[in-house]
Amino acid sequence: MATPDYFVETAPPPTRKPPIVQTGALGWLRANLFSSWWNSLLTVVSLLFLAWVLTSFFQWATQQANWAVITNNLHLFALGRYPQDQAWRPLVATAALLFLIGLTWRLWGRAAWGVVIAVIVAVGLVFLFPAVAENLPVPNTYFLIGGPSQEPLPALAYVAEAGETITLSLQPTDFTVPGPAGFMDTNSLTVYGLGRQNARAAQRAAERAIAAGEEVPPAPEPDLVATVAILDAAGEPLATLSAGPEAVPQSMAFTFPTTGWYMIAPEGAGTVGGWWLEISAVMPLATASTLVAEREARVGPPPQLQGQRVRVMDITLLGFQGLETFSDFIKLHLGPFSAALRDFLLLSVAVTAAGYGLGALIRRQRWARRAALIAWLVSPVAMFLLIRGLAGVPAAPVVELERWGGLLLTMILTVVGIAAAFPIGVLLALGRRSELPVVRIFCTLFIELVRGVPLVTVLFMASLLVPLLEPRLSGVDNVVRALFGITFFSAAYLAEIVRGGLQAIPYGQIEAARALGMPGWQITLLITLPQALRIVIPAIMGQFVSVFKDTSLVAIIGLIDLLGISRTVIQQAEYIGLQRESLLFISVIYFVLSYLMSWVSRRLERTGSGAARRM
Amino acid sequence: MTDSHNGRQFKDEPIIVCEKVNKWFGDFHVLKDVSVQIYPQEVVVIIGPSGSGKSTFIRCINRLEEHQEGTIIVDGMEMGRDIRNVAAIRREIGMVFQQFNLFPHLTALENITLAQRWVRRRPKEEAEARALQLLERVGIPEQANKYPLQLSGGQQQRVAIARALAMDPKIMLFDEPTSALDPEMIKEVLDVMKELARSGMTMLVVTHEMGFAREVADRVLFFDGGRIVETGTPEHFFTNPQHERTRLFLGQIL
Repeated sequence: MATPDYFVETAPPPTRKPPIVQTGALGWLRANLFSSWWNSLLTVVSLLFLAWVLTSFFQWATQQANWAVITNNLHLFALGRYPQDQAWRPLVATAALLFLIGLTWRLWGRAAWGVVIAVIVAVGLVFLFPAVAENLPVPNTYFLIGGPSQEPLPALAYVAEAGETITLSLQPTDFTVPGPAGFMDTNSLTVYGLGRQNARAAQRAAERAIAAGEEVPPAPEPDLVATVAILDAAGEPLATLSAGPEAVPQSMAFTFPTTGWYMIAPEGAGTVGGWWLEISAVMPLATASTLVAEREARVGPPPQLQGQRVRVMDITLLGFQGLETFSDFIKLHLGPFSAALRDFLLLSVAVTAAGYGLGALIRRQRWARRAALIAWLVSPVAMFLLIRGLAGVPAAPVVELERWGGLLLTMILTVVGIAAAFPIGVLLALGRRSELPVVRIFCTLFIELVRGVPLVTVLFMASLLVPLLEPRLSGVDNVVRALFGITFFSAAYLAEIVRGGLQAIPYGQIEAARALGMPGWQITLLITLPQALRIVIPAIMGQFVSVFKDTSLVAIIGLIDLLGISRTVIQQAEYIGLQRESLLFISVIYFVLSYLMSWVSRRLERTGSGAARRM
Repeated sequence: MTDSHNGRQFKDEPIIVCEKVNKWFGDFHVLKDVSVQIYPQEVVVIIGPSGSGKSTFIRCINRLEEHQEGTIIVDGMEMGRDIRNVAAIRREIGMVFQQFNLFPHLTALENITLAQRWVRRRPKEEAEARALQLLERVGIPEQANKYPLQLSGGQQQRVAIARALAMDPKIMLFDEPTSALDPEMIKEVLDVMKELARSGMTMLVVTHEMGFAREVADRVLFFDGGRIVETGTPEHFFTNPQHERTRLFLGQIL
């Protein structure tokens, strides 16, 4: 027999920390990734898979991808067909917006340290890469002399600075090894490919002969003599290098005496064999019209040569062939890209910080928040006028909406689509819950009709059908029609989201408000809507992210937004076939902006009474 | 059905007059011929089994429910279809709910000042001063800037009482104010209600707290099946109930 023990507590047990393996990084790993054999196996397999995918991508991105399409077309991506000399206007508008964002940020909250650190790192990188790239060597340029080609070799024209030194080198090749990696013209590439095919065929024939016991005919002796001459703009030779027929490489260095055009004229005498002309430290010239104009203003047009074709060593002639080394990647892509972004990034950070600073200064003033709200209400109109321009203002000529494209168009469609759709959506939601039958039926019909139709169709209707039905509206801009379509579409979805939130409010609160004597509209405005909207913030932000990406559908009505521009850019002669780079770039842009929206949403959820809720 | 029973005498006219009030929820007849008169400064406690219509009855008095037949006259104004009357009546009546029904997105202070500023149109400083005064009266001035979710049940209910009092009502309705509280907190709310009764507020309280009824009530109404079965002073009611149904009910709960 046992008696239960009765006791009175004398001293409570102490509160302690839990044992080590339950908490901290090790504990987390153990609990989440390695909690059982199966989980551990899955973790290992997933990590291996991830590593494989990431290394393959990284190798492609740094060794083979040609990112010049991005760096050289940033203006197109950002503004579409907006005239380049007026680009300062969207820039000023963006600066004003960023200033306002910085101000609002500080007036209503504060930036976490993580943000500051991220910004500092980004700015640091954008300065670091070009600086590093400056000190890295330019990849070599290769030109094939000889090989199975009957084409006469052209002379290569180049602009050199006084004192610049290059090294010319002739390397023999028997077409059995892969070609070198570096700048190369397509002709050399093709001919070398043919040469390699011939060499392989000869190899196989020889093997068959040996296998058949026949005698192998001896390979013909190489007899190609390669000569390279450096000529000045008038065609006078300044230096010559030759090699062959023996397979002994030759090289020479040359320093250019004055700034101007020079020609490198290769020649090959003979039929058997091949030589690679390696030119070191020569960067292909740009082809953008503004840069060409600058160049010609400085040193004049490219030279002509009697009896030989002259090709300018620019990016239409030379493309990078083979696998880049990491140094090449930084020199050719990362450096120039960072340099192109540097000014804009600095300006953005400075302007946002200025707004943030102003916010810090005035946040205690009573008028501060009201002033900020007024600024927000006024700024869309001001920005629109600035970007569009006003007739009669010579400093800001009108740029029709049709010319707005790229990221500018995407952002305008998104922001207007959201800002205008929000009040309409809330009104529709309230209307759908109204007790007046006419209002309720109209709102319900509108919501169901618009939600039942794909956005593509809505855009079509807005763009094509509306002017047909109502001739007076045919003068309205295509962009404005797209805005109407997107706004109404978004408003219908928002209405349903908000309605869900409204239904989530416990009825007791409404009764309490009624008991206090508050009329219906006050109850909606002060009690139901604030809580409902806060509840549905995640859904609303999801809708916004959706709208942001749905704007790409305006391609259907002939507008060129960010996605459209990415396809236009690769139709240019120099950038044909670079879809992967272009699409990847805009995917990153879409992702970064969408993630930014989600981040804002998460921070919004944590303010006010949401902070007390701790869900 | 007599109303006075050696109880307190009132010199003024009744402030609430209900005459043969009938209400249906669909087909269900929930209030049957309810007639009662409430005098100013009277504390009336309504008891009865669940489903007897007591909550429905007091909700009809401030039009949270609509009665289909009979008349309800509050402070001389008849309760009917006329919205202006309803709004005016609601301004005179404060209500405290079982589930507190505080506004979770506002602090306690903001809960109390909201209706003052928007319905009574008082300026912010005046509303806040009154709110702090009331918070002191209910005993929790230090919780002014907390959100309802950060307060205990008893504190929330006291904020709800302060919120109703802030509108300076003539009548206070209580719909089972302590039923959602655990025993430690019931006392603090009942203390506030007792203080309110002593200060002369007209109160109509639906509750199961018999101790409160005995101590503070001027009159007790017993509801069953949608009708008032018996009324009386607390002494009479609890020691010598007349109706059989009353005796049955009290026998089960006392």
